[in-house]
Amino acid sequence: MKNRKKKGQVQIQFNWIFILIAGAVILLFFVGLVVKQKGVAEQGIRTEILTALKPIITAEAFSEKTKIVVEVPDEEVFFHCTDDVSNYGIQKAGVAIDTPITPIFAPESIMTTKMVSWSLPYQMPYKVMDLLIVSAINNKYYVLGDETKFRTELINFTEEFNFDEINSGEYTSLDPGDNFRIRMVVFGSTNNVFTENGGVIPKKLAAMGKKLSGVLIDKKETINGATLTFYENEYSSIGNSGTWVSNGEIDTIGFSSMGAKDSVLYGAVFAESKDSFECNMIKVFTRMNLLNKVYEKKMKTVEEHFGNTGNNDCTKFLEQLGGAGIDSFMADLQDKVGTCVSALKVCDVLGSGEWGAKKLQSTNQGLLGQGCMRIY
Amino acid sequence: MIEKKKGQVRMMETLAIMFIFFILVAMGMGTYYGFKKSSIIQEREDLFAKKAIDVSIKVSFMPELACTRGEAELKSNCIDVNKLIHLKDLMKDKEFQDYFFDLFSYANVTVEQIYPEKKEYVIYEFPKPNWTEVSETPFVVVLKDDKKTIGNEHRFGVLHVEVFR
Repeated sequence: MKNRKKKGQVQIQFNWIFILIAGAVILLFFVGLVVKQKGVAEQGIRTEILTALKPIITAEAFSEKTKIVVEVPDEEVFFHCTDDVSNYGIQKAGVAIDTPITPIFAPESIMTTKMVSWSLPYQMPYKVMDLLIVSAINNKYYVLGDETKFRTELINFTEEFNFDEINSGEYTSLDPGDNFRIRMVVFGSTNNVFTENGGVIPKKLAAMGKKLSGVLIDKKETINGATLTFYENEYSSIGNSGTWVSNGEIDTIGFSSMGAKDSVLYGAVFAESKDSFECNMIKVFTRMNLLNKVYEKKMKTVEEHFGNTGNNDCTKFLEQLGGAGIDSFMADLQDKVGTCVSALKVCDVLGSGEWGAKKLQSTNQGLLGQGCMRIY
Repeated sequence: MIEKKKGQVRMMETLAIMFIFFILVAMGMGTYYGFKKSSIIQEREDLFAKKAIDVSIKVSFMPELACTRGEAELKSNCIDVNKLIHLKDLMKDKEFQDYFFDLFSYANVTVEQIYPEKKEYVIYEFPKPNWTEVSETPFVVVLKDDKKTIGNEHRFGVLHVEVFR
């Protein structure tokens, strides 16, 4: 009897232990499966974002003046451009896609469900390439300062983005709200919030840290281009205070786009910093260096064509390029483009009525007016 | 003795149930992953075909090739023959090859004039070493030669883009 009782007790206990172990194994199996699937789903979301961005960057970069609004999963996307590295990707994934060719003017990072992209042509004087602007509906752009034509154009043509005009009184009471990033775009030297009051940033804005940035656009109405000063927020958690600090100044008068819209100034509004702006403009001039070689050869074809057809009226327009002819003119222009690639601060390809892109434009207009074969 | 055997039978029953359960789970997972694999393969094929289209779009909007209207605006689906001829030659330079490889990667880009006379211009030739698959996209384009008299300056052509993997 005693033996049987003991056997029974052992059997019951053994049963329960067996059930516990088996149950734990099954549970662990399903938990493992769920965790694995979660990782796969997250990877899928990141791939979806990069896949959604790629056609924007391909198509936008090659079809101008279009704006695209894309819905994306809410993940932080970064855009990076320095001397050696230019790419974009998902912050968490650690995967980036290189963009050595396409100039992308965007904040350092975007976290949104709606991304907005816009491409604008850069012309000098012929189209060199498109500048791609990328932002998000939860990136806020506050515009204040002098009333200029470019400021009015900026407000009118950026409906899809999140722009607001304010005055200096409203600036002191700004609240970031749900905005992921804030950009202050200031025109002219009056109401220059970057230097007024020692450049102290209102506390609520200052708390945004590096997600707050600014650009001062000093533009003369009669001249193409402007002097740009980029600002960042030097935030201190002690006292929760921030001060505007300049991270560089660039004069675009020598290379601002000759198109209907100054794509360079638009790029400056959206670029994160001076370094990012410069890095992307260098891509433009690298392309321009190659494009000019194609146009140089075409100009010689045009010159040869006029010679073959005995069209002296047309030839005289090409002669206006300079005494030494096309070779010398283009060599000088290429030299200037090379300077733009290595030292954007002193870049000047626009020229005047006597040299540079302006001279090329007036020559082409002359050929067009005379019904001659054009350069572009 | 009978009780012992009953206990053993119960134990075997439980083990059999668990075994069949895991077999069913394995079958379910196998089916799911089979479906997932075929959809991933399909997506891979779609992306490969899309790559050829992407390169075609890039080529047709290139300022080095596209026609202009006298202002700086480009004309879409139009290739300037006088730029095409020179780009074809300049592409032999390493500087151009390195730059456009970043744009086109492993691909062949050819413009074939089909009317009024047949001509072929190979702009970019960079097949992938030991490639196993190629995807081709033809794209009808207009070719414009400003040297010709007005009314005779347009031609028809096809832009052939091949991408490799």
